[in-house]
Amino acid sequence: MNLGRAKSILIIAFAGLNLFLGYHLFWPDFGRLTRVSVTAEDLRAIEVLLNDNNYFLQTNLDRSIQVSDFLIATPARSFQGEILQGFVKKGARVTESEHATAYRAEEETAVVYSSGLIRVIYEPGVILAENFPGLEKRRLKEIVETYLTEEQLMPEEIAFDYIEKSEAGYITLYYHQTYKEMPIYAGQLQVFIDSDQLTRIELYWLEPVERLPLREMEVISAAEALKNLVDQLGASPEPRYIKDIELGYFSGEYDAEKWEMPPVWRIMLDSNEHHYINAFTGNIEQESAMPEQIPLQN
Amino acid sequence: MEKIKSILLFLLFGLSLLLTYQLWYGEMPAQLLEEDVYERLMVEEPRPLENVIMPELIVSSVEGDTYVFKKGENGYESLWEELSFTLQQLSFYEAVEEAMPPADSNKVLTYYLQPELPVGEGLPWLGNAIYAELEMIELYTDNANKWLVLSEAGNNHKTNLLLSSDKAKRFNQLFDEALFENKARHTRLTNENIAMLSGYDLEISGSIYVPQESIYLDEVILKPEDLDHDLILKTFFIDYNMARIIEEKDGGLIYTDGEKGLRLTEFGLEYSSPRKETGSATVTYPEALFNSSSLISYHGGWPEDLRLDELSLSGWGRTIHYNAEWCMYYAGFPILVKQPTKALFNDSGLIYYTRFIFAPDDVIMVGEGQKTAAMWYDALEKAANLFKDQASESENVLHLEEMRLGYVVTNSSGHYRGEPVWRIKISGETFTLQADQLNSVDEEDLL
Repeated sequence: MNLGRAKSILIIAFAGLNLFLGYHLFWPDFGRLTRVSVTAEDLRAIEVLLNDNNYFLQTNLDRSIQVSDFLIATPARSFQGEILQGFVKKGARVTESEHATAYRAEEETAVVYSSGLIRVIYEPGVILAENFPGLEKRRLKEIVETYLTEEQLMPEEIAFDYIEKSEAGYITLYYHQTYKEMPIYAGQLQVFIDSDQLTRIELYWLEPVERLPLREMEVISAAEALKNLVDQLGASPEPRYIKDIELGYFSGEYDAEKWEMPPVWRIMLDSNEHHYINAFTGNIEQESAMPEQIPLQN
Repeated sequence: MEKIKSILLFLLFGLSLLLTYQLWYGEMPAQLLEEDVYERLMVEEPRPLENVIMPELIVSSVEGDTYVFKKGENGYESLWEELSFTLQQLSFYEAVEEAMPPADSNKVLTYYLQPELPVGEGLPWLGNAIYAELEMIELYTDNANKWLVLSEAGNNHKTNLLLSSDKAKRFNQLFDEALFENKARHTRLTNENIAMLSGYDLEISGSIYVPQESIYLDEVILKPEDLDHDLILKTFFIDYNMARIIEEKDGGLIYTDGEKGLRLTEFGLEYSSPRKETGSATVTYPEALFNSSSLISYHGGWPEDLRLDELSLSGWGRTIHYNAEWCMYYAGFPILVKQPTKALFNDSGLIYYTRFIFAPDDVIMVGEGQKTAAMWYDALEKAANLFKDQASESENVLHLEEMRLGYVVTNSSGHYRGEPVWRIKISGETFTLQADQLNSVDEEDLL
């Protein structure tokens, strides 16, 4: 046997070996390229299920297979510190109670809760613009964001979520935090406007520490999340419309040092009611209530 | 051409090495990682039913004197094992007698059974009898015979069993002098003997025995149970990859998958699965006893000195569950903690579980070594005064529900200490008094 033929045989053998090894290493990912998490049949089935229970899909479902991981977060103490420093510079008096500290400046008060939530109350309210409620949504948003940026209350990595207007003239703008283009629904900024006056801001902001790629797993499909929601909520007496379903991170508010947030499917219904479905377990995640009590003035 | 073949061969060889390395040591794909978590756990076997129940008290009456044996005391195990063995061997219908033990017989042993002892078909004790739950068993003797008198819980029904001579002889062998060596004489509190506490109208609820003479308690350094956190986590979360971690400010760790939560601290754990609350508990009492054994053995193990103190069915509306509670004992005295080791469970599984176990750390003596407990009447008077001071409305009759010596756990100068106390419960209010000085112990300072 000459050397050339021996090389050819070895090349074929090693090529075969490499194909074999490559198949075992990467076959789930090969499959992922060609698979979808929601087939056309799944989509039809989930629509039937939703309609049978008086829910109607008004958005497109992401049908690709997605993987995600946990995100470690901690309350954004440095950003919180910057805000409070601003109050101290304005000569705010500080009063403390068991779970909160209040910084009272002349026309505004910041209350910091031990969980990290900051509530800024304006007394009297701040007039943002003439005929504020009559402005179109885009303009209204612009004015609010300009004011918050000037007052150094506008964090970075923020995304506008939605706006609510009540018949009584109350307007609330909702923002959420983002991290590498993924929403963090737990990090929220809410701006409350009464007629044409800014009356209150609530800010609960987090500092993403790291993602845990070692615990990266395939998430349940958007269709499965919808099914779980219907299973747990039951049939609706009135028609409900599903406006949006999106993958992000969410957790309750914890009075803790740091914690891991799981990926969730946020399902937005009409009238902005939303539910979070854990994208690993399929369970509904509970949203914690914001504390109401403000420390008494000393 | 040959040169190209050589380069290609070299590249393929290198690639094969790289792929082999990656396959062997590299990260697992997500799906394989998920499957890998269903590993076999090495946990403690549940105790058989024979070892789940132990008496709350064993009271012995000898020549007019009363002695009490409690968990962890010398003689307690042998007295209980003898009775348990006898009931396992006894043929009910051969031993049962219509007549009560004769009037001239003496009651020498009384076993107070809390939780109740189930007997009857399919159970280790009196396997051929009709099912019953016993709250008390008394041993009577005269010169010739011995009888067991079984008292059922929830009614006044009593059953008498005559012991054969060989079984009676085995009991005789227990009563040697060593059994009562260094034992303090006790007295059973009655409404009459507490009437001397002037100014209070006290009534006794249940059977309360207190020392008639001075009792010395070791002051001990305790250590919290050393739990294998990794194993504990795996026993609660089948797929712990799904659980996320919350680091508390006090160093505690919470694991939750959004449905159930586990909190691990430096000296215990707390678990809850609120969705399981709504459900029924249809298992029988003996099955519930075994389930309680399985739960505690699986989730951390069942230490030798830990006794099942209570197993009861409770609930409201559609929420019915069994409530099991355990307590650690040292030399006959309970080690009382603020959050007892406790499990609530129903047909859906474990709803709630707390586990805070402290054990003596090689019985290190501290300070003077021993404390002399104040006499029961002084402790009772102090507690009754405290009750009167804090009662919003004056009650005509106070009910003494519990009175016992034990330890509470305090944390001072970096050590967990077992502080000897009198624990007294009057009309629903619990008072913890330092055993020697009778100063009130603030519950907030306890662990």
